[in-house]
Amino acid sequence: MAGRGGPTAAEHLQRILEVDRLIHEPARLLIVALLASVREADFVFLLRETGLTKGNLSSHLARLEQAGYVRIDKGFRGKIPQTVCSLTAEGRSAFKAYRSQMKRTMGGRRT
Amino acid sequence: MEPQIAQAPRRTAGYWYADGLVELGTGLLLVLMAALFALEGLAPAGSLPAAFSALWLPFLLLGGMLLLGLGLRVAKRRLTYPRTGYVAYERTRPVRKVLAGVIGGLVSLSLVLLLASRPEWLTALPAVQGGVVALVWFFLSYRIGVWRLALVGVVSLVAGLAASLAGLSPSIGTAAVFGTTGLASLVSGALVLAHYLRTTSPPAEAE
Repeated sequence: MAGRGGPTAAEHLQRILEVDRLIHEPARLLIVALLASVREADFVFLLRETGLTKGNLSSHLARLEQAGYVRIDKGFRGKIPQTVCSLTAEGRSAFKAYRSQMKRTMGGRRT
Repeated sequence: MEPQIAQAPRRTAGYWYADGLVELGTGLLLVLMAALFALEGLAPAGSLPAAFSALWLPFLLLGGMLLLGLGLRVAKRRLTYPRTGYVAYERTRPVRKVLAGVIGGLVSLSLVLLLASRPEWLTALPAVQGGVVALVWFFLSYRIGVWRLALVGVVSLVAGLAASLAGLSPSIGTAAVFGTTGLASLVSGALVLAHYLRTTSPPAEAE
């Protein structure tokens, strides 16, 4: 039964279950949040800002790329290898949806 | 991790100022503007510098901002991106640029009209300029969470008030405000750049 028009516990639980788990993972959420506020950023920047190890960051980026959320371009700047990452349109809308879903879930709770 | 996520937009915006290059460039531009106003104020009435300095200002502003943007891109490509990473920001929408220009123009026009109707208020011009410049620095500082920029704003505010209280002529007062703010920006930028270069190192080249 909904209390004062708010969602029931079951509805609340359902909302939590509907959250995009790929983005919900903290490290990936941070990567997506960083990329959402820029047009593109390289691996070195993400490495410093997230504090992840190179291996961890690579694996999280690979998962986001597989899901179509992140685009990764590998190239060279002079003789230095450079990996540039950016959120795809799908990634941006997934992040937007995730944020509004979290707001609803966290803000809409009635006990 | 949660605060990190909430702060992500601010941190990425603040990264543009992490190396002090923006403050160095802006400081240089402000000092050049101050030199132009000082030239106008010190040149004898009717002389060429006094007559033409006002005409040069729009060119200095537009050209300076174009060169500043270009110089920053080159400097960041050589200094910053190899050390702490490359970031490209979303381009400002043309509508927002036009809106900012219109607001800036309206504020300037209102100020000119106000001073034309009340010439006795001319001595307050440096204080008003210092306040407006300080507001820009305060807003920037708040928006991106880089608090040292607010200090430059405080310098601008104090310089404007001091110039007004000293009763300097509008040109010299303006030169004092821009010059002091520019110097504060240059000092801040130089200190940040020195610290940035000391604490970061470029990566090794690929084999």
